[in-house]
Amino acid sequence: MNMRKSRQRLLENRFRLLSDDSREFFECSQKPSRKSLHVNTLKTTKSEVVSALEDQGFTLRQIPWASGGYWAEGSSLSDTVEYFLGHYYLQESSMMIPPEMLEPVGGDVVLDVAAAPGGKTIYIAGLMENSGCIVANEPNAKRRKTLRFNLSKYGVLSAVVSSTDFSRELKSSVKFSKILLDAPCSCEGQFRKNPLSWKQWSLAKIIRYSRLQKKMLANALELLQPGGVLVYSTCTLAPEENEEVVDYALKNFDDIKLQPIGKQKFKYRKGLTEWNGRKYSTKVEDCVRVYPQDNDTEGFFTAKIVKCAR
Amino acid sequence: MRTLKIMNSREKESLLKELQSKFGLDVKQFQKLVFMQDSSEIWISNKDCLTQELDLPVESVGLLLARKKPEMQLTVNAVQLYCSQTAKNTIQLDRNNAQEFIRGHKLTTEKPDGLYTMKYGGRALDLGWVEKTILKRKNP
Repeated sequence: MNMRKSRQRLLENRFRLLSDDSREFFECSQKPSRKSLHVNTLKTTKSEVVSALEDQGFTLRQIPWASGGYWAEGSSLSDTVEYFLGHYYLQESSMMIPPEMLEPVGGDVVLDVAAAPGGKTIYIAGLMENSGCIVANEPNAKRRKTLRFNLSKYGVLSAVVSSTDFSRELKSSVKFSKILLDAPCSCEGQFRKNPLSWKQWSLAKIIRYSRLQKKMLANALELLQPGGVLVYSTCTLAPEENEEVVDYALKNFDDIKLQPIGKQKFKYRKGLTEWNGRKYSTKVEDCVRVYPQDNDTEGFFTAKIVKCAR
Repeated sequence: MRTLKIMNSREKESLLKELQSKFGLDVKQFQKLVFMQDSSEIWISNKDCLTQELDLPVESVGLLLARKKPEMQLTVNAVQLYCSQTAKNTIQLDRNNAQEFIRGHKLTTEKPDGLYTMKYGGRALDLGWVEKTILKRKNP
């Protein structure tokens, strides 16, 4: 790790407290992440993509928790005709978990709060077979341009692109049956994909993001209809941005509860009920922590929140 | 901020006739879609998107199908979605030529001058323009 020694020590100490196998975490985080893709069923079939890529010398292996997800070995996945055709989207395998947890179905009205660059929106549109309505939201104009490009490239006909800033006070009465909040975060779980993020890590950043995430989650929950589902996710392992944010929501909204996800095809750990002298509701144990070494992926956090039906 | 108007059935029918004539499209593919337009662009989306009352700032709905100026032209995404079954004015490419074509490189062909749907396997890639045996991508 190439970072100031004091910051390095702080980071290492935090991860030692986060798990008993921090050595495995650091070892795994030094290795490059596995390349993975998700087949875009709006334009093609899984068998067509697998067959085409294997013909070109790629080796594909099905990702157990993602329908249409594959790890791929071989050079330059973004240089194929099939990639140009929008037949698959390059996406980290752990990022395929939130759309699957959301379980969107045809007819749903879905909000993707921080949609850019669009991978999860495209995934959701595929699960919904281009039916229903997905509001793909992104407040940053440059990122929104990328989002629109990707939605078009992958043939999404069911998306409305919106520019709402969920960090500010919202004046909206629209209600959604499903909401995905894959929140901006400190990206501690992405050290494998982006080695620069070691250098950019700081505790101040974590605290700033935590404040932002609480606002975004509170705003998103206001737009969730009774009986609706919100999946909150980040690619960081910092409890301040994860369990603390979910705990904040549980304390401020008396009509929501966490839904345990039960047995899954990936290894995961329970949410932490205390961190750095702060105690959280015991209900946050139903949150989901995925460390890089658990499934040889990037690190990840997610929570499935249900608003009680009236 | 742009304002798109939903096309009525007469406008939609007229547009589909034009697309069928120019690009050989099977218009049955568009039956369940809603068409919207302004002076320069035509957009399509599913019906569900337009039945929602959203009080959030909306920038776009669905997908850009075609640009009207300087002449009616399908976007690359529309070609890929809707021109795979086209038999009219097509050029079939092998993998190497398809890769050259999508990278923006020029190819040579014996085909007469004009607009073609470029195909790879059973898939439409994009529109190509042939002029004096030189073939290049029509969409930038």
